[in-house]
Amino acid sequence: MNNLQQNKITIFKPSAGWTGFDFVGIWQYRDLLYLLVRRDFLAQYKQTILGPAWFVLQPLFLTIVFTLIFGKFAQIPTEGLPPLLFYNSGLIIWSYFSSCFTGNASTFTANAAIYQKVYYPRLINPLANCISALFGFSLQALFFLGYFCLYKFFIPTEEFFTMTWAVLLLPLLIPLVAFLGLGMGLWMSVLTAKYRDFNQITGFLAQALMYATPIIYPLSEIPEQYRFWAYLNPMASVVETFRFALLGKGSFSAPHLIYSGILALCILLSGMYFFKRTEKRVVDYL
Amino acid sequence: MSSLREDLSRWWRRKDTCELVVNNESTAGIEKSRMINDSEFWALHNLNFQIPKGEVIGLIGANGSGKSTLLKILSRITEPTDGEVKIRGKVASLLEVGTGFHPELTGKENVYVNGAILGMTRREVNEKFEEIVDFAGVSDFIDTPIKRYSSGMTVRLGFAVAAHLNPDILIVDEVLAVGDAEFQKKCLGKMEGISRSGKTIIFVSHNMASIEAICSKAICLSKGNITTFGSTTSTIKKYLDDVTPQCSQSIKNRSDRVGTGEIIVDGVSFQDYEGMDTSTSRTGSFFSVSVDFKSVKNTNKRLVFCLSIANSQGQRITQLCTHFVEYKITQKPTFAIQMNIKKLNLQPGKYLFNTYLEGDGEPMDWIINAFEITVETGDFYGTGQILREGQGNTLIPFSVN
Repeated sequence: MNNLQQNKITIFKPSAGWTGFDFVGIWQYRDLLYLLVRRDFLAQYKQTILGPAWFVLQPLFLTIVFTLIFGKFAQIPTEGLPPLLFYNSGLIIWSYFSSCFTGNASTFTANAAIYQKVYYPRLINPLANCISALFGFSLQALFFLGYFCLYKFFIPTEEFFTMTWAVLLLPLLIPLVAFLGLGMGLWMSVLTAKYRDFNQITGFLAQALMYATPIIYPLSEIPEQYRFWAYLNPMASVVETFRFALLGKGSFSAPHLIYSGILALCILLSGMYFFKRTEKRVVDYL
Repeated sequence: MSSLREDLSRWWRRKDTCELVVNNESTAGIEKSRMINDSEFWALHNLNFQIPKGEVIGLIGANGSGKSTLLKILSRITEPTDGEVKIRGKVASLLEVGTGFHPELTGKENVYVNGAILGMTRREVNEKFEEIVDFAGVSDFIDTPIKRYSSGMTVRLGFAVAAHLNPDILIVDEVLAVGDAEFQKKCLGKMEGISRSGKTIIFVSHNMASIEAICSKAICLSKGNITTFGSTTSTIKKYLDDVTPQCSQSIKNRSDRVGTGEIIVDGVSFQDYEGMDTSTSRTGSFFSVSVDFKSVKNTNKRLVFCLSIANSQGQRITQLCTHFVEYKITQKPTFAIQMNIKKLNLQPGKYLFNTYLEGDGEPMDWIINAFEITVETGDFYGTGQILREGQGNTLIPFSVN
């Protein structure tokens, strides 16, 4: 690949236990990472009329459906926020998590054909997925700001909402979501590689988690005595904090956020460990 | 691939009764010495070899001898269970061309992604882009999505990327089987060029002719072991000799069968157009194969019997199956079927046959390289004109208006 590497002796032998992560390998393949992100982005909306507009239209349509069903018909309160802003804020952070999670759950099975033929650090694929999902998320966040300004300055509304200091937490919050989604995705990819049963479970798990997360309802709607259980879901405090940062409603609780952060790191590290262990032999049973 | 349920039930069974599953379907027919336990065996064992820099090595061996496993280990796709591989320099494997092509992306975009998958940096692809496109001969379509490419163009582009990798060690698996004759020539030329520039090449193929053309030495694998490592000519000869002796053994006594064994193939004989037993045949003549079966157990399964034919280089040519012609086999204690080829359209040479009997889709009796026949030169078209050696492998009846 470069002159440094020439004449270097590489040894392949059975590695045992904690072999460490191949960060050097990933760095050497950084161009592949870039090209895969670009490929994801380009390929997703080829042969569509609206192209990348779908990044924004999809959550918008879902927000409108939520507004109608959960807001209008089911009358679930939105903490005095305009329903569109309430649902959209929850949805965009959730869909980032969800694409990191479900998008990576089939890493081994989806790339089986390549993995059987070429070696490169397999972690590149999940990383590329998370990064290209981040682009989608950024676009959606930009449009959220648009809706925000629209409501703030052009549509007269009685509800009061404003951004808070917690916006400064976003640079931590978004990696937290990425780590959590990536970690869970890696776990699922390892399990699906061995047992296809987990293919089914991933979709179900993602959906169940979504209902367990305060997206279509505010956490404050959950009775006090059950709130502890609700907070066990690491995404609960994330979504609440996200909403608190952008709209000033919702709740901010540092201990719960720290819990989510630690849990995310644990899941990520263990996921990476098992991913690494799996990638060595996986082609034999894919 | 096992499902969770199977694994759990196996685990439960072991825990429960400590019984060992003795007859494992997936490892039936594997020699005892290769077995690790009831369900696992060594794909490769006790391999020890060194390849000096700049050598072009051919890797040959029958199906299932461990060639692919060795390549996977050498190219780091799978990790060895035991032992180690030391490699000096950068390895690139050409196990399949066009790996990772995305149908929606243009040729250009795919060249970049594919190059990166194979270990090139963007700068390296930039430098060689023109060369790659020229080599593949797709410059007019480089901005067209790959899905609109013909399969030949896709393969050519894939090979072109791989051929410009510039590794120290190149591992090539059967790429030359694709593309038209002209392109194959180009590939061989490219490989010779790579080898002349002092690079090491490990080349796997079933095509002995191309192994002979470019390799200086060859390794022959058999049952996970190296049987020969030496000059190409002698290794190929050894390999071909290895494959044939099994056939001389009468089918009755063959023990390397795979399948349930409810019905087994008991004997094979060949007849010419007069119904006389023969051991050779001629191109263009009537040829028939009689297969005798013996029932070990009575079953009601739907039976299908196939004969598959491979040439002396191990390339599968065709398969004759009873269900192709809607022939229904009925089971008796002993019975026979006769497969008739009205006009044998194979070029002269040696051919290897596999026999395969299945019941309800499951193998009952499967013998690889069950027997061999020699086809002699004959007058296929009845005009005295023959297809000369090297002009093709098969003959097709045709007419001209």
